Amino acid sequence: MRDEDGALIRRIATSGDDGALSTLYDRYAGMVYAMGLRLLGDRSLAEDLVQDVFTSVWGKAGSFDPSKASLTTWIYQIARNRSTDLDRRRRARPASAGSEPLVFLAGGEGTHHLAEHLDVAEALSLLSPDHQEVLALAYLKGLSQREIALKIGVPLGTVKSRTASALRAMRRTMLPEGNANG
Amino acid sequence: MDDHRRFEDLLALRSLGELEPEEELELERHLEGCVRCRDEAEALDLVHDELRGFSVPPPPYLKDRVMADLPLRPRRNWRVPGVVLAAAALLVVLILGGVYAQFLGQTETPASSASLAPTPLAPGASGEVRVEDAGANVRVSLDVSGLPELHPDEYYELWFVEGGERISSGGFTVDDEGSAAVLMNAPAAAERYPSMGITREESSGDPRPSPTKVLGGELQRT
Repeated sequence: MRDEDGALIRRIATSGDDGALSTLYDRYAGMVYAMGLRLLGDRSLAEDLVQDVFTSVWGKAGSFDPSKASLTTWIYQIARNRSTDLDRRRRARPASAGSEPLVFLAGGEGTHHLAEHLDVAEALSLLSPDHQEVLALAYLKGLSQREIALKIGVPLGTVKSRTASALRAMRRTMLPEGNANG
Repeated sequence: MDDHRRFEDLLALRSLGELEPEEELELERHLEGCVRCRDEAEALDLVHDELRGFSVPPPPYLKDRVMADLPLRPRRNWRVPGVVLAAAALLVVLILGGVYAQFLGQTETPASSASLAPTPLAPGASGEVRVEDAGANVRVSLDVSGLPELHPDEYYELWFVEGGERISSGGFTVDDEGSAAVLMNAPAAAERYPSMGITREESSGDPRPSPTKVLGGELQRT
């Protein structure tokens, strides 16, 4: 996936290929939107975050250096910077009875500290391309292990082995030994 | 394979709900007697929960909004004759390589747009214009195709039109396929003009529009 992402960014940078941006949107918009919901607690601001981030990707594609960071990390950093600006806007709003409530996401608390969310993206960026690919397909696309095997053209046993290895790698990065309770 | 390594693999897949029934039974029996694997199961469940919440599909309409609001970018390199730049009456802003005022913090509001229809002088041509407020000026995005090839001392010019009045938005040339995608500026007063047109001009120094109109259309407020 890393090589494909690099090719897509180059197409955006050199020829303004909006089809390439559309593909990157399909891959990463969910990550950015989830970050917006968690950090900003507001669907409208989370949508603004997605729009700001992908407009930035469109305009700054030429500045992406794959030798310095993965595309996941680059997009995440753009999103983190923009979310800080949007958070200032959110805090500047007067509280009102009509304010949208915080969004509670399955699998976690209603709000997360910024540092906790950073850990997931950073841990993902440290994985090998094969590991990133299987986790992205399982968690971002919601594919089963069998569907992943068909999609990427490898045996089911290989996919399961990669997925298990990727999750163990995430565990070691996010929760070093002795910190299983966070 | 070390037993715990095998059970660690099963634990990871258990979080995803990907175990076969017999694997699940075997794992549960193992967990009853292994503190190490119970701790590992707890850690992997936390990782799984974080990953599940890491991506939430945005609403479907958001993608259309994002793609529609992308700033236009020139898709082909194009040249402006030196004679155009030397013409003091023309206002021409050339942007190449994806640098837009939007990223410099300015705010722009879409004001109007026009689809340009060809005249008999350019039957295969077409064009789209988008006009956006940009403070003291308006920013004009022009996308044309199918225009006739120009002679070396010729260029095309975009005009805001109201009755007999004209305000120039600037000159441009086209590539071998008669296409160009350019960004220009014009005075804010031009925004009130209801029509737009493109003429074919010679570099004679005369700032008035030639009668050689190739494309035209009415601006629609957005």
